[in-house]
Order: sequence, then structure tokens, then C-alpha cells
Amino acid sequence: MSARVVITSIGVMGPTASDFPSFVSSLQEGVAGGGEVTLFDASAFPTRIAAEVPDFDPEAVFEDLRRRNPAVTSDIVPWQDRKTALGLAAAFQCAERSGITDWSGRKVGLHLGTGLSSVTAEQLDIEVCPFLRDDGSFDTRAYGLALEQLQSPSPWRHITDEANRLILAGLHASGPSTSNFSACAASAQAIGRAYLDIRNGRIGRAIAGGMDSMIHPFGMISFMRLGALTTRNESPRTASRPFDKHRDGFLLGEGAAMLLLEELSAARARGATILGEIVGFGTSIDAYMITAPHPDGKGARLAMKRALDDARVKASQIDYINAHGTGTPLNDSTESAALKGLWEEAGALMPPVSSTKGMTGHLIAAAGAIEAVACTAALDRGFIPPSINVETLDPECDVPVVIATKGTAADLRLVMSNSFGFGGQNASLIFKRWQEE
Amino acid sequence: MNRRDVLITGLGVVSAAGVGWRACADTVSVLPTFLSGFDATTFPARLAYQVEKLRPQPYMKRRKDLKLMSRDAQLALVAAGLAAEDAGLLPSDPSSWPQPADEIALYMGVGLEPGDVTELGPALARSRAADGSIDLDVLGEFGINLIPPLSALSTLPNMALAHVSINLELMGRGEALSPWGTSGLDAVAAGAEMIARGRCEMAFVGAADSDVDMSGVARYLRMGLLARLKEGDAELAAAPDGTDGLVLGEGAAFFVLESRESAEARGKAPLARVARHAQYAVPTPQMSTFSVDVIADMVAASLVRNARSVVVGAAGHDRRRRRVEAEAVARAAARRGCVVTPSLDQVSSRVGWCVAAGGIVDLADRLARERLAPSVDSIVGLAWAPTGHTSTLTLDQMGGGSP
Repeated sequence: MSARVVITSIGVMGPTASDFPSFVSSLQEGVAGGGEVTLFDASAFPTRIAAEVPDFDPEAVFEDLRRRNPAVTSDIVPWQDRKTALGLAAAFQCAERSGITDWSGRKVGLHLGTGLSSVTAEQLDIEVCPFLRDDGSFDTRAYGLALEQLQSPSPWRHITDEANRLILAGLHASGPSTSNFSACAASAQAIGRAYLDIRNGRIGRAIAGGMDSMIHPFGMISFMRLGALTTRNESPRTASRPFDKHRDGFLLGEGAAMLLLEELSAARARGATILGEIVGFGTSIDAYMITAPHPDGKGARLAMKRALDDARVKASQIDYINAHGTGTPLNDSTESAALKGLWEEAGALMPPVSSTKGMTGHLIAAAGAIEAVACTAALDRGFIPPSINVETLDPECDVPVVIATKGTAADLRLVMSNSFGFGGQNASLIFKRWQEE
Repeated sequence: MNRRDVLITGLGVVSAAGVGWRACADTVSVLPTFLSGFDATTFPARLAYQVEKLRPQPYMKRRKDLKLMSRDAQLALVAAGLAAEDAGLLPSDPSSWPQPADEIALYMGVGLEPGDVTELGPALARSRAADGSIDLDVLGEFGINLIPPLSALSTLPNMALAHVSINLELMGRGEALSPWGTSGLDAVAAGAEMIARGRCEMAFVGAADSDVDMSGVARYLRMGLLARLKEGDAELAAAPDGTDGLVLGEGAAFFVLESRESAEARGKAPLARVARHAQYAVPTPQMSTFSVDVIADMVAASLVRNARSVVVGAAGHDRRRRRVEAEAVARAAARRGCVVTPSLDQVSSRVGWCVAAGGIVDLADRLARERLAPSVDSIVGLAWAPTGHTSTLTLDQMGGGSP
């Protein structure tokens, strides 16, 4: 018999809250993140708004890391980018809230979803601009002569498992560890991997989640050039409007979320507070186009179906769906088609659907993690998070969207969370309210 | 639940040793060549193991997509296509395959962000202020329009997986794993686990990486990881005691994995069985502090008792890493009472350090040579990274899949 996998602690660094209790309140109150970009001067950019984590101090996080493990030298600080700092902050918060005071020597899995490293203007000023000719070509010879003298810390920013290394160093813990780079499905897949490892008996405990911050000039430009970002600069708190007929793209968010997953008996043995349970995980690939999802949502449907099968539950048993719901015209209509197709195939009434990205913005690689936290909160506190900012439901999104400004009380037992990424990578997770059986 | 046997029924490998498993196996020795993708004449390291004559077009549905494919993606597609052919699956007609493509999994190890920051050159040149720094106002107003709309897509590491899935129509379970040097072996393990637990019958698993472009070489030089080989130094790479750092390579390898039931049902002889996998990370407060104890423990757990084994190391050309690895493998062999031939096999010296694809390219290279001239009972692939991650993957029951 497979082991049961329960959630026993959560760390959150998000645009609307920087700890789990505050995040629960923000979901219940329908608090929207979003404001003018402050991390760099975006005043001339077509999109000038984003959902930043307010008052976040990366240097304080690295000081905390060095307090936890003095062997981590101070020269690592300029190596790191913002997403790594967010990831560390959420992981250490999760560890502290767990009640486990000593992680040293403990075997703990660490599975993280991560995104592209940040490319700051300052970095390009040092690394690229001095070697640019006026026609935009690059003086490779001059660069080759100078590159070892460049006073820029960028190379280490690109290491995809750097956050894994530093979290394990900070906790003095060891265990199976991976990073996942499946775009916007990355952290959902990382949580799924941790769930499978525990369920299959490979480990008894894992921290899983993800982090991302693309709020830097070239991160935003990348999405703007793809036509993916909202340009509702005048109203940042209502700019993210998944499923609304007049949505025009997603609001770029940033943040990190980490969940401590434990095998049930291990959690019970230490008297842990159980917040919820993971019972299903499914993935798929669209195999369609790199620029667009499968038009009828076939890949998304396969991921959801596999998660249901894995959980051994029927579609009719799902009480709430936390949609990927980015607010791009294409995603929301395609996801709606996938949901509709699957529930019609099952001959079941579709449960309420909402997208918490209306509040948090789109956290890219960390989206699946913060939405896993939203699902856990919904089950634990008995409410459905609202889809805020929906003024006119798009007829192309013919699903029961919970159009509200605040959370709605509901007796939930099973909920599904969807995450779909560029490149057609899909993941669905199924969470269950914790109850003794 | 009983775990099912997972077999390798197809092998595709692309490296400086050749394109295809037979080309790799037939190549006796390879030497690094002068970096060809950019003007490297002033770079402190100028040699690398590079793939020649790479042609992804035969495996592509839409040839115009080639301009959207990074070098990683091209390597991946060729290796995956070759693996399909080797498994008896026609890449151009997935509908003829014994398993529906909807159910065939794809787990892939991906590298660091591919792409070249110099692609931003025209936009940045347009956006420079008088002091040479970037003027964000100008960038936002004018420079932005000089950046190709789809350029971001080629810098996402998981796009290599996307291109493989699109061209082979794979819609099964899938993940892009990226724990740096161990990515490839971890991807094999992830796919094998799905088959072992009955979630699917067939999976494509592999990795691809190419960092022999200007940004990649500069990145690893600035990290202090590369040997400073210049024109005329190629022979130094073959020195038995290694070099003073790693020598970059590029490559990709894919396996077609199948349940024993599926392989037997279609009469496909296996190349090997995926016997076991282990992955572990330890606190590494300072980059590149390697633990002999951890690597020895991992290898010991991976060796098959009473079997003639070869450990395919990940030390590459780096002298210091070779010492660490040799000591770890010797300790492991002594502990397990195994015959390991010789103390370790420096396969990665043949094709350079292929970074995220390193572990699996090295393993595939050895499996290809073993296919032509069997000499051991099991192969242990070993990958480890400066971030403290170590992975091992053990293959046994080799000898099928006649050449």
C-alpha cells in the first residue's frame, strides 16, 4: 500500500503576503497585488506594472543564511539573483514553521521549480555594453581579453540548482534533490516529484515548491515581445483578470512558496499539525507548438485525467478547481475547453473554478507552488478563493468561474490545481482535506 | 506493488565522437578542436569537443522551426530520433508505434539557459547613454522593438523537450529536470520509475547540452572551471593525468525505455536493464567542495555484487576531480568486493564535459562500445556537480540488441 503524503508546513513570499497566515487572509479578502514596477525604471516600457513582493530585502536573507551556516562565505551574496533570495526566504520560513528545530543530519528531499536567471541592466553595463560596436555587433576579441577581469558576478546566477545548494547548506540537511525547469509548470512538477518520492517510500520528508522573479528589464521585455503581458498600466490592481472578456495578458508576479511534505506516520510521530494531503499528480506534454497550447486543450486534459487516475477519484468528486488562469486570451479559453471536455466526458457537473492569479499575478515558475498553497488554505479553512477582476465573463471561457471579490465559504474535500507552461508542459495536482480515516 | 523491469531498447547518442551509437563506438579517440562558433582567438580556453555534421532536419515536421531551435534542442532532437530508430520506431510515423504517442513519456535533463546575450546587441546599442550604460527609457521606447519577438523561447531550457515532443508527437508524462550535472541520469531515473510502477509502457529519456558558444565558454571560464587549452594543446587533453580543469564538450543522448512486457510483446531484444538509481545532495556551503565519502557511498550502493563492473566517471579531464573520483570508486569497490575495471573509466575524456548531458552522454558512449565489444556485466554511470548533487545509474543484463 502506498504511503500517504501530508502537508505539515508552508512558507510563502508572495506579492500579497509574506507568510502563510497572511496569505490565507489575503485570499479570503480578495487582496490584489500589483503596482508600478519599483525594481527598475520601467517608466518607458509598454508594461510598467507588476506584482512585486513588497519590502523584500535579499541581503537580509543572505545574512540569515550565513547565520545558519557560517561556512557560507559572504562573497556568495553578489552571485545571487532575486529569485534565489525569495526561494531561501520561503524555505527557511517553511522550516521554522514546521516545528522541527534541528534539520542537521536529517534526510530530507528538496525539489524546486525554478526559472530563468535575472539579467539586470547593471550586469549588461559591465558585461556587454563595453564590447558593443555602434552597429550592435559584439567585439568578441576585446571581450575575450577582458572577461576574466570583469567585476560582475553573473556566472553563478545561471546555476539552476543554486537555491537547492544554499537551502541544504542553510538547514545542514541532505537528501534527494532536484530542480525542475518546466516553465510555468515547474514548481507544480517539483511538488509532484516530492509527492511521488514520499508515496513510493524513497524518503519520508521533503521540502517542495519553487521561486521566480522575472521583474527585471529583460524578463519583462521577453514577455512583452511575446505579447503576453497586460498593458493596463493605469489600474495595476485590476489588471490581472483571468476569464474576463476584456483580459489582455498576465500581470507579471514574483515570489516563492515552499511546502513541507511528510509521510503520514512520520508527521504523526512528531505531532505535526497537518494542513492537508496530496493524493494525485499528473503531467503531460502538448506536443503541439512552442508558441501556443493545443487548441482544444488536449495536453491539459491529459494531465488532469492522469492526476484523477493517480488519486483514484472521479471528476465528479472534485469540489473546486484552482485554474492556471493566467489572463492571456489564449490560455484561459484553452484551459476552459480542456476543463469542459474532461467534465463532459465524465458526465459530471463541473465544480467552481477560480484563478488566484487575479490577486497574485503570474509567478511563472513559482505559480504552481503558490497555488498549491492556495489550495491547501482553501481546504484547511473551508473557502473558495475568488476570481477577482472579472467584470464580464468571456463566453469563450464557459466554465463556472467564481466571480467574487472575497472568498466564499465552502465545504471542500478534494481540489485540483492546474499549471501549464510554455513549451506545452502541463501538471495537475489533487489535494485533499486532512481528516483521520 | 511489484516493480517491473525497465529495459533500454533504443540508444541515440550525439557527441564529438560521432552522430549515432555506432559512429561513437567505432571512434577510437577524439581530440578537442578550436572553438568554431565564434571568434575565440583571445579567449583563455579555445578548445572544446564539438559535434560536426549535426542535421536535425530529417527529424523535423516543419523545417522552418529550425530557426527557433537552440543548439541544445537540435542535439536533443537528433539523439531522440536516433534512439527511436534504434528501437525500431519510425520517427516520421509515430502512429505506427506499438504504444500510442499519447502515453509515451518524455523525461529530459536540460542545461543552463541556452542562447547568446549578444543577440540583444542591436537593441542595446540603440539604448546606450552617453556614458555607455544602458538607458532604460530608450530601451523601453525604441530598443525593445529590435529584440526578436520569439527570442525568449529559444532561451528557455525546456524548449529542447518541447521540440522533441512536437516532432515525435510525445504527449505522455514529462518533465524537464535541471539539477546541472546530474540532470541526464535523473531524467533516466524519472522515466524508469514511471514504467517500473506501471504508469506507462514506454518512455524517451535523455539530456542535451551545448555550452561551446561564446556565452557558455565565458561563463565557465569566469567560474574558473575550464582548462586553458589553446591551439596546439589538443594532445594535452589525452594526457593520462588529465588537465588543470575541465574541457567543454557538447552532446546529447537518449534512451528508449520499455517495460519488459512491452519489449517482449514486440520481440525487441534489450540493450540493457535499468537496474538501480540513486541521487543525493549534501550541504555544500562552498561551491566545488567535493565529498569523497558521499561519492564513495553512492557508487558502493550502485555496484552489483559479484559482477564485473565499470564506473563511467564524471571527472572529465580535470586532474583534481579525477583524484577525488578515483579514490571514491576504489573505496566503493573495496567495500562491495567488486571487480571494477579499471579503477574507473574516463569516458568523459573522450567527448569533453557535456555539462547537463554529461552523465548520460558518457554512459551512452560506454554502452555503445559495450554493444560492439562486451567486456563487463554492469555499467555504473556517475554524475556529480559542484552544487553537491551526485547521481548514479546502474545498467545490467546487457548483451541484447545485436549490432
